[in-house]
Amino acid sequence: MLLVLLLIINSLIFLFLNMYRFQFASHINRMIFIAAGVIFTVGNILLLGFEHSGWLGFFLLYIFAAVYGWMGAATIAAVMAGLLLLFNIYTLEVWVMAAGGYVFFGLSTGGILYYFRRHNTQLKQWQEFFYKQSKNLHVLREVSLALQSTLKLDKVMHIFLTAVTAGYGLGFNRAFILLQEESNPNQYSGRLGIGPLSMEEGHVIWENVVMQKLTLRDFIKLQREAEVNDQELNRKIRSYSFTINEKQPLCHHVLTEMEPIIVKGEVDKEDSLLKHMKETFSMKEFAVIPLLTRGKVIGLMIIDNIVDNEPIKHEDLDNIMPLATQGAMAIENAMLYEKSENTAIEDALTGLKNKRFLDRMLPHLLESAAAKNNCLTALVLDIDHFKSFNDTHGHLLGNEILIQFAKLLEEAVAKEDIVCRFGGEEFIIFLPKKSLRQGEKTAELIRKAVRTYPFDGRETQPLQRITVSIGVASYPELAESGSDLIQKADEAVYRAKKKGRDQVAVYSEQEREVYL
Amino acid sequence: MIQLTGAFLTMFCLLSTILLSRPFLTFLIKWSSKKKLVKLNKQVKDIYYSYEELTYFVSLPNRNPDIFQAPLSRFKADPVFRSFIFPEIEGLRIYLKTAEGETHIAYMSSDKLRVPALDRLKHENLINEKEYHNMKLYILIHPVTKKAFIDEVYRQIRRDDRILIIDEPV
Repeated sequence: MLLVLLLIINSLIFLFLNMYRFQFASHINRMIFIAAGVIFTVGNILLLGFEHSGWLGFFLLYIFAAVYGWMGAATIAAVMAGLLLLFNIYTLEVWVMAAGGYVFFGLSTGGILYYFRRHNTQLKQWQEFFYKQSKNLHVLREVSLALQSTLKLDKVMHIFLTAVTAGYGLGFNRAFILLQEESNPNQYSGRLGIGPLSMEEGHVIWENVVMQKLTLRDFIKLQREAEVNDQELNRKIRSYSFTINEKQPLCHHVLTEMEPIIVKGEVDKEDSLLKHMKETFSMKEFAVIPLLTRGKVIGLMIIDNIVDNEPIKHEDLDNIMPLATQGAMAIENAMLYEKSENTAIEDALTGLKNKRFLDRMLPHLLESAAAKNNCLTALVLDIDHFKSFNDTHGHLLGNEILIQFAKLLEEAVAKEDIVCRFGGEEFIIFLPKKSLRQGEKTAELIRKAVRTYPFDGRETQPLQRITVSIGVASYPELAESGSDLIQKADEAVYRAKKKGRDQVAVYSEQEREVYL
Repeated sequence: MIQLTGAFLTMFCLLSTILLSRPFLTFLIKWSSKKKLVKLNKQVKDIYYSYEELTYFVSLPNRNPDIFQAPLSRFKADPVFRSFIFPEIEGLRIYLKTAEGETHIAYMSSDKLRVPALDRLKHENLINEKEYHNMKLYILIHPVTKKAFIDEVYRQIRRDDRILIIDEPV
């Protein structure tokens, strides 16, 4: 009975060790498994007698086969056969059978387990590959949808960078974009970045993101929040404007070879751009990726893993390239759209905004003024005797005068004021948050500045100088709507003209009766 | 008699290495992680994790009536193990139970599960690598997490892609 109890205790010890081994790392786990097997086998041999060591040896063989595969099993089979022979427990015939059994059992168990292990490893590799590809496809799909939903450059860049940095996307910790300057193809300027400035900041952001359970599309919609979060990062990024040539071998390589690079360790001192970036953003390892579209590079993207310090692999670059190309195409489209939009709302001659812009902008200006209980004052300007100037000097000089006049207006008003060319020699200026009196003052300053400006050909004008008549009206004081505002300022100009030109006239209901 | 008992117990122990290792592993992960969480004064419900790395086996959103119209109660989540003698929890499989069998819907790999709170604890040296690994697995197989993953998968299947309009209407 005691023996049975001891056998049960021996088994329980084995079971306990078989469970407790999972508390440890893989290699210790295996060592404990072997120790448990040895203790169990030796214990049973001692309890059951040495004559039972023959079949109990199979248990030990199984343990070694499980840990070391068929090599381990074969070695242990040889050792055990040797021990049986050494202690001379069995007759030669029995020993031969036992030794043969050990070798057969060891090799077959080890072989089967080896096959399963290999099969499992292969399966795991395939699985990982499949999951990665599936995720990349998912990201591409989501980002394509998002990129197609906007033509605004800043939003396109935000979507693209979000796809690169969000865990739902490619999961890099930080990314920023440098775009080629239109005026100088060798010049690259920092435009936008997403990511933390330090590891600690990264942990805080990351926890918030997970806490709020944000998805890729949530991130895409949170552009404004991202701008606020990454204000400091973007301030630094936007301060970058570099000429890239042969003197910066790494960046130049990316641009000329059109292939991404991974920069590890020290950056070549000559590549001042990357060296400076590495120091500014505390980057240990980073990748420089060309933004390619239609066979040319329109910008560069820099990525790094500042928070988790995950090394960037070449495989990652292969995954990022299709997305980078798609992003680059969207960026180029947005840039072209922005350019054509600007062309549509700009006056080709003076560079001022045109009537189309005015029609689009005026409702917003009025809405804002009404919401904040502010004034919106309009100045309508008409160059005096301009037709006669054109007849005398020709349209070429006339155009030159318009350009100079436009420049003068822009310099005379504040940054928030909007100057538009209304058509011909007529201009309009909107002064948000300025009262009628302030508007009148500004108009007077402009009038004086114009009459003293040394325009070419001014001597042939009736007053021997180029002058302007200005009409002033204000919302809500004098006008009720946008069209009413323009119309009243226009009527005031008409009055200024009637009164002898080179004057500022504020709209008034009484005088309107007299002049119209 | 004694020999028979010895043989029976040896056979039982041998089989236990194959059949009981997975339950043993699960038990130990739960036991050690619970203990550690108590020590750190934290609860599973307070630890946030990310759904980001969920891999879907179906397209999203999915309008296949078999999947789209299936009630939430038919979505199940089970841990996926690898190997018997030295088992590992590889991930969480989310599937749809149907009359014909099971349809794989999504998979969350244990390696890819992101738990920032654990990253921080590890970064601050409050837990070691093994504890970090065990706690991550504990969170993955916890019933609360399973339910949360099922809810997320269900939500993604039924999401409306038409709402993805970035530009404000002109």
